[in-house]
Amino acid sequence: MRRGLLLSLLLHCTLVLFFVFNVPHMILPEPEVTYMNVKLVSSPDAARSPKPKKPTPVKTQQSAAPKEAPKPKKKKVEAPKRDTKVVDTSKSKLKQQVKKEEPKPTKQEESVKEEPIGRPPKLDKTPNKKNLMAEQGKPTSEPKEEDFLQALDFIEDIQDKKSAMEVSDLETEPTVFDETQGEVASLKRLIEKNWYRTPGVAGLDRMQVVVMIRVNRDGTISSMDIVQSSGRTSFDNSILRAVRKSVPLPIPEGKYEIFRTIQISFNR
Amino acid sequence: MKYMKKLFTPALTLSTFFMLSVLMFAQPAQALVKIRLTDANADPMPIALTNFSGATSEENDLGKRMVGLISNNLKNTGLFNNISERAFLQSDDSLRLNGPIFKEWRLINADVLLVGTIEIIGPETSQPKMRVVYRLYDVHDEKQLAAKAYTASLEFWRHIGHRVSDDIYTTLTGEKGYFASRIVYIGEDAPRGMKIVRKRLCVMDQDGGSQQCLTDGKALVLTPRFSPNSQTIIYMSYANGKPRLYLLDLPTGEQTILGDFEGLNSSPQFSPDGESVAMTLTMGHEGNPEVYTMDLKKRKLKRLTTYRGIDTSPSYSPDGKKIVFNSDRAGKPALYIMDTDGNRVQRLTYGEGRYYAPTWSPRGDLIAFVKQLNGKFHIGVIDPEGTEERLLTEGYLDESPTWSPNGRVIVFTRQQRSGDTHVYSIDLTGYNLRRLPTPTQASDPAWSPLIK
Repeated sequence: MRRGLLLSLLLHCTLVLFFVFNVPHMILPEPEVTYMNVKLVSSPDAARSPKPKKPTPVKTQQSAAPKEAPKPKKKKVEAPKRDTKVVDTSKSKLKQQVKKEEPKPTKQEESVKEEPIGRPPKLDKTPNKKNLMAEQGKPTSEPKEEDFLQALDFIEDIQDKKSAMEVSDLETEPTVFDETQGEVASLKRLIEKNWYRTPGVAGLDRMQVVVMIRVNRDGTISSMDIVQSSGRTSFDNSILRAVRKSVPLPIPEGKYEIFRTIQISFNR
Repeated sequence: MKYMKKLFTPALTLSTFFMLSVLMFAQPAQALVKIRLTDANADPMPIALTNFSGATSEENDLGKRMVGLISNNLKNTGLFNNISERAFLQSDDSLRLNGPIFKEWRLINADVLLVGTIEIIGPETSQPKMRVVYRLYDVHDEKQLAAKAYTASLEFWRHIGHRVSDDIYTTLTGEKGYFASRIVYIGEDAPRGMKIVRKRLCVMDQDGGSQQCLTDGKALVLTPRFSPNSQTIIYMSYANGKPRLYLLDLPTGEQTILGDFEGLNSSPQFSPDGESVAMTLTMGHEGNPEVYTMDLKKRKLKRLTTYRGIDTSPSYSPDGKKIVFNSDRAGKPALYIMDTDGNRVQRLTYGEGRYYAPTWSPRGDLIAFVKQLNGKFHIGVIDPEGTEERLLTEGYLDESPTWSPNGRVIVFTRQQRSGDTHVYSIDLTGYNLRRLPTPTQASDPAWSPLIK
């Protein structure tokens, strides 16, 4: 009785062990293939490829950009209401200035009279700005072959070094944002080219401006709000003017979702 | 089976919820492009100035002259690029009838547009007046940035032009203007029949208009300075053979001596409230110059410095609490700051070379000076804390800097190696060096405050 129990236990164990070690080999052929997944690193689908569960330290700027994004987005949702007010006060300030400035006649200029005047008569507006400027450069979004080959080279390196840090670095560097960066940079250059800022203005070092822009698909502006004013109407205006002058904004094809809200800021 | 369902339902709902929320937040996470502006276009800002229009040819004529003056003012700042009238697409007539057609102004690349009208009231009367209305537009936003109407006697058309220039400048740069101001200087010429160079006290508008000389040139005059209300000029003259300070009342032309103090009386400067004058006197100090102030109402003299070497060239801070001056107490001439009662003297400059003629900016943030270094002369600026010094010019002999009323431009005397002496202006940024149009040679300029 006892021996039978022992025997059956032994038999069971061997059976279990056999299955545990041998069957997977038979069912899943060549498991090594799985690690080749890493080659997807530089394709746009990288985000979907399996990742190690280790927390991936964000090192490069490119990877930081998309991750930080949600915060300002939230702020922005509340902000516009306040912003429109900022714009309004700046307008009324302008009026106040005009009114405040009273003639202080000296002996010579006693007869000079100065008065503020209101809005101009209705003028015919010509809102058709769309076709004024030529279309800007178009984007290229397909992953290139070289990228893939480069990724393979990297994999070899990684295998040599066995450094987990570098693996995760590579994996959090999707090409999509590399390309967006180039487009953002060219948009920045365009706006800066149209921006005339008085050099040497007192207090330029302390000025901070944040402007939120909502863009239509055709690159025109659907709304523009000052989230943070520099406190100087002339300076705020100069930035708004530069953006308007850059219309139609060069929105890369197929990336409207990314470019529909743009935050423009200045701070020294 | 029932058990399983019970277990699965909350798990499923939870996971679905989680997945959904991830999807929802992931979408807008990418939809924000951030641009941080760093460099602006360094070129001057393109602006379009159209002639102020009237109903008669006389009015149109005056409107054209006034916009010419405004255009010259703005161009001279170096900050604006006035688009040539020949490039304009919208005609004056169309502008008058329809108002600005902004599309046409965008096409010629204008950022802002000036439009105005002028009307002469009572041209047949002995005291004709004019009414000037201007509007400044943002061409891209299609909105009015500024608008004002001025009514004044016809003879003040230049002053009105300067006022409009100041309005435009302030609207676009955010800084106070400086066009409605005058400059007093020493005009030097040698008219026929006179062997020696004649030096006269002269004044002009800051753009060189309305030239006028106030003294006859019989006596040597130096270092004129405006009072804060622009009605009085204080200057040094050898009228009675001795170097004394005089006050000249501009409306009446009346000259009075400040005081007959022993020795050299020099480098006068009004306090910002106009109630006292800082100056340099040698008194009985064996020719040793010291800084004094004098209360103009009480006629009371106060000595601020006591040092055996040279203490000279006092200049008030715009808040009237401090005085910057020049002293060689540490060996070579350097700049020092003290309270207006003479206490708490602090050295401001430690750089190489010799420092002279400090002038505190009306904006308060900088002090201009003359620096002699390696045989060259420079006009420079330094902040009142003495942390950063910048040299703006270099010349054979650059001296006597004076600030525009908004603290943006410095006018100074430049003498060439040939002896040729003129008054020049330079922007605070070190750009836009220009010679001011004076009919004769000129030196010792001093800028008036803004004239209202």
